[in-house]
Amino acid sequence: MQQEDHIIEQLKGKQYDRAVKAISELYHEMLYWHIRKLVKRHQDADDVLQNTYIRIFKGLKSFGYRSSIKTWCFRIAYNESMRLLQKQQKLAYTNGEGELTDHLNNLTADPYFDLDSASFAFHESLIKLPEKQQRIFQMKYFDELTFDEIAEITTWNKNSIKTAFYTAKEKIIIHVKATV
Amino acid sequence: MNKKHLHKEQLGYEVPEGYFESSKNDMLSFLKEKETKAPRFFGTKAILTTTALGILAFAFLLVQKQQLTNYEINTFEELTIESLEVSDEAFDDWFDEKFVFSEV
Repeated sequence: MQQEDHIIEQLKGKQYDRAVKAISELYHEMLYWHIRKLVKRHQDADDVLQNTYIRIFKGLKSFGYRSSIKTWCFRIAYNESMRLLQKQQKLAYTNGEGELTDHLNNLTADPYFDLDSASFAFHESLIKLPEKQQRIFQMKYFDELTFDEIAEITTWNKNSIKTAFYTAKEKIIIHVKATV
Repeated sequence: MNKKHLHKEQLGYEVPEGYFESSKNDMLSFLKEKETKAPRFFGTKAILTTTALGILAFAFLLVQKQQLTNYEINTFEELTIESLEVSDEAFDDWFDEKFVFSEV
């Protein structure tokens, strides 16, 4: 939080270059992983991350101080990821592909995915979750975001997020127990 | 367990060696380059602002010139009206003092 205060001071002093640098020092890796889990492939995540930085840099000048810098950056990253997914979906429809959100289709095409090292049961249970539950579970479990932060990032209702998370968690536990 | 390890272990996601450090630098230098290529001064907003200021300055000058012309006419009108109300001697004195002497 102290580091966020430092960024806010830089923003108020209109030191946008420094603010972006400070944001990258703090959240670069977190943003990457947040995006990666949404778009799956490394190359896509890299492209989305670049677009996210451009939007962050442009948006800093009009930052409204209504949310934390972290939530704001994550929201931009989330929106950019959704934009890419929608584009890919449209493309897949025009190419006549069936399973648009097929997790494995995307992953196996990625040279930076190692299926052997993955905890297979866990992974499998995650793939089987509905898209919304999958996203919420990943944001909570891996990105360690609070329910409030997830609600702000996704603009979904906080209570429905909670319900989706606990449902997802239950499903994963049952699946993993049954598989192992 | 750090993030990289967690994602690798549980999701099988990997990143190229040294990716985070290099990508961070790449992104920041990309932004810097982008900003240098299109300096803010020459942006669309700056052009519009400059044009608007130019128009305003031109309009201001035009109004000033108009007001100056009006002032001269008013003065002349005041002069002729005043000449009717005061005696000829007083008017001559005033006229001399105001216009003739000041020009000498």
